[in-house]
Amino acid sequence: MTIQRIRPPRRRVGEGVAGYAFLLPWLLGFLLLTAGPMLASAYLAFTDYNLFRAPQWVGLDNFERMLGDDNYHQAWRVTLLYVLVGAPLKLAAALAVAVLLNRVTRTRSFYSSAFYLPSLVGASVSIAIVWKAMFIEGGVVDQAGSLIGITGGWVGDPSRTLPMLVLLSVWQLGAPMVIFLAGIKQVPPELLEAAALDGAGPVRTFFRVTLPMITPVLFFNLLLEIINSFQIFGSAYIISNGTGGPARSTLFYTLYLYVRGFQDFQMGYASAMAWVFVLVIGGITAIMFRSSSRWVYYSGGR
Amino acid sequence: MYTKRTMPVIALGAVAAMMMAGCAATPAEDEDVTLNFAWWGADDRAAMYEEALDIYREENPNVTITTQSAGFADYWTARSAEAASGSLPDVLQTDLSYLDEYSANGQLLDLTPYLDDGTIDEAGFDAALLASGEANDALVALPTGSNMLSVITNLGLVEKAGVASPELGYTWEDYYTYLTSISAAGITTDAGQPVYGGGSIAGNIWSFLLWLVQQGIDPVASDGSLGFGEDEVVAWLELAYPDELRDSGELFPIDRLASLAPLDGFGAQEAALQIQYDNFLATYAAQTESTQLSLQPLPVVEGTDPLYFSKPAMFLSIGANSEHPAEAAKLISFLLTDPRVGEIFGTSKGVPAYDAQREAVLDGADDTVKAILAYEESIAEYATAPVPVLPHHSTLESKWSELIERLMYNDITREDFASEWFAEVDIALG
Repeated sequence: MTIQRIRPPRRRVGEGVAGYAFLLPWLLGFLLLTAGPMLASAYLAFTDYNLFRAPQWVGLDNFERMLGDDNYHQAWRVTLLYVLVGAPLKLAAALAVAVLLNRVTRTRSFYSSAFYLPSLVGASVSIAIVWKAMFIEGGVVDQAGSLIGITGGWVGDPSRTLPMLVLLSVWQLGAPMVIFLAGIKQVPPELLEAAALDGAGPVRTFFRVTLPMITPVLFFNLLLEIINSFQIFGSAYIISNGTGGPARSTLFYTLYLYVRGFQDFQMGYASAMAWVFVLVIGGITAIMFRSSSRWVYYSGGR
Repeated sequence: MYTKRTMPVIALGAVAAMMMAGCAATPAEDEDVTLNFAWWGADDRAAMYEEALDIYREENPNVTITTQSAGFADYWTARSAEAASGSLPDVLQTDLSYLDEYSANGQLLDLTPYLDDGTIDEAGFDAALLASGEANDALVALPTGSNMLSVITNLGLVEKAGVASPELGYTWEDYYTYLTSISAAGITTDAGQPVYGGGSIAGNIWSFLLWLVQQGIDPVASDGSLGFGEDEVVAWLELAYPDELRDSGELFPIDRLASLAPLDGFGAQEAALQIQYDNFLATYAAQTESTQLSLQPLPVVEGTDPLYFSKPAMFLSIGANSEHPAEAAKLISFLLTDPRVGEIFGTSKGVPAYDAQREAVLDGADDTVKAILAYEESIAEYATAPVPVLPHHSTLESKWSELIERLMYNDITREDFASEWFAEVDIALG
């Protein structure tokens, strides 16, 4: 018996070239605007560069400076607090809304759109300005809050600025909510029926059946939300007027990096900060992926 | 018919054409020139500039001037990005505290050739002011005018509080007595907000530098390092932000500032006093819509004669990368020397440095201008100290402001303030 080797059809040379040719604009953009600057900043991280004269090699000085820089530690504190509190809160709220919307049938599309809209415009400058105006002394939130005893503005109070920004983030729960909704819909109805037959109430069903089945979606959302939260800049910049104030309460990592790089002309230090940031986020992502095999259940099999 | 071969080629050509369309247009003719002009300032300044530039555009139809403006901090962030890429505007407004950094690597054009060949009339400028635009052995900026620190006073509020203004020669301690008595009077604005005498003077680094100068301390030593140390900073903070005042609540509360932005306490008529350069009188008059603003001299150190300095308000410079330096120089000459420009701006960019503009300002003087000129006249004999500008002034000034905010939120002590500020000094100068 002869075994015939089946060869893949020969590709014509022209087709490959055409593909790359179409890719060329994007490829150029990627190299010049993303990859190139990233490599440049990796070099600049080891230099003292003030934008006006050529970078001067200083080795690990920038990184040593980071260890002793109190503002830098504050930036990490603020950012980590925002991520560790804000991201889970946002996802919990998104999940709660998704569960509720799951039961609605007729007006679901309206509610989905209504919840999704903030996440489209949320990160914009205009929303940040409006949010600041709402939370300022004498603003809407102050007036409403005084009815339940929470008086005073939020913008000028260092202990309230971070909660205000977390609320801004939670308000944009539409995007993860829509994804959760899709995930909940994918839970096999047989499992839900079986649970009902066994006498499980809605809460038990949720925690024992729905939640485990949507862990892939949960993982995806968690990962994206954490990475997104780390990158907060625009709202913090607008609300604090670029200062990270009051009293450094909104001094996020990205904002501090921007101030050091573009206002203090310390580009080398800012580049070093940027790369540490990338490595930390990369590390967190890697840890999440590693741990995912323990708690994420892919029903299609690996 | 299009075969499988020619389609990719046609598509590739279309893509290439689209890419080329994004490229720059062909360069303009020799006569038609486009100049970029950037300044910082509030809306009133933008309106004045456009009025002045319209006159220039009418008289020079071949010149197109594209303008951009921003707030002070954003302005310099944008300029630093442009400096790094070598694309600074042809004409830009500059400040004394930034001349050192921007000229250190030839980012600003040396203007001496344009003075020598008569494009800009050197003779009409005040010589000392003109010299203040020199940095790193080149004349990189021409002054628009000069101004002096003053206590901008809302006389309406002071009278309402029933307090008398102190006379020239009062001390820094007297200033606080004056301020707290206004706060203690308990008057309010129309909206019911409490009115304070003013905020802490610690926040303005120029007040601190004046206080040093009045004690005979030169802020910058001959070798370029600072002529003072942490002790002087702590002593200033003890004078300017003493514990009693911090706890008494008689100073304008710092968290109110966040609510009032972009106005400050004085602009919102919730503070009666503001230490600021006198050219701010025009902006404050516009913001408060009050006709009862007045300029008072700053305090003096106990036991000394009054001593003040006159600071160049701002400058105009040419970016070294400009493709039309001669045209840019002509525009600068127009803006700095033409009497009509003087009439438009009054003293909002300082008392004009050029004599013909100064006379035009005097002629068409409105109340604000008259007030500023009268103020400067009244203390002219004492304004003999040189300007105490620090090396890397802009970075140190913003660090000072950041630390002051933390001090006022009780985040750090005065000693921490001094050591952190000097840590920044080491980084900036070292």
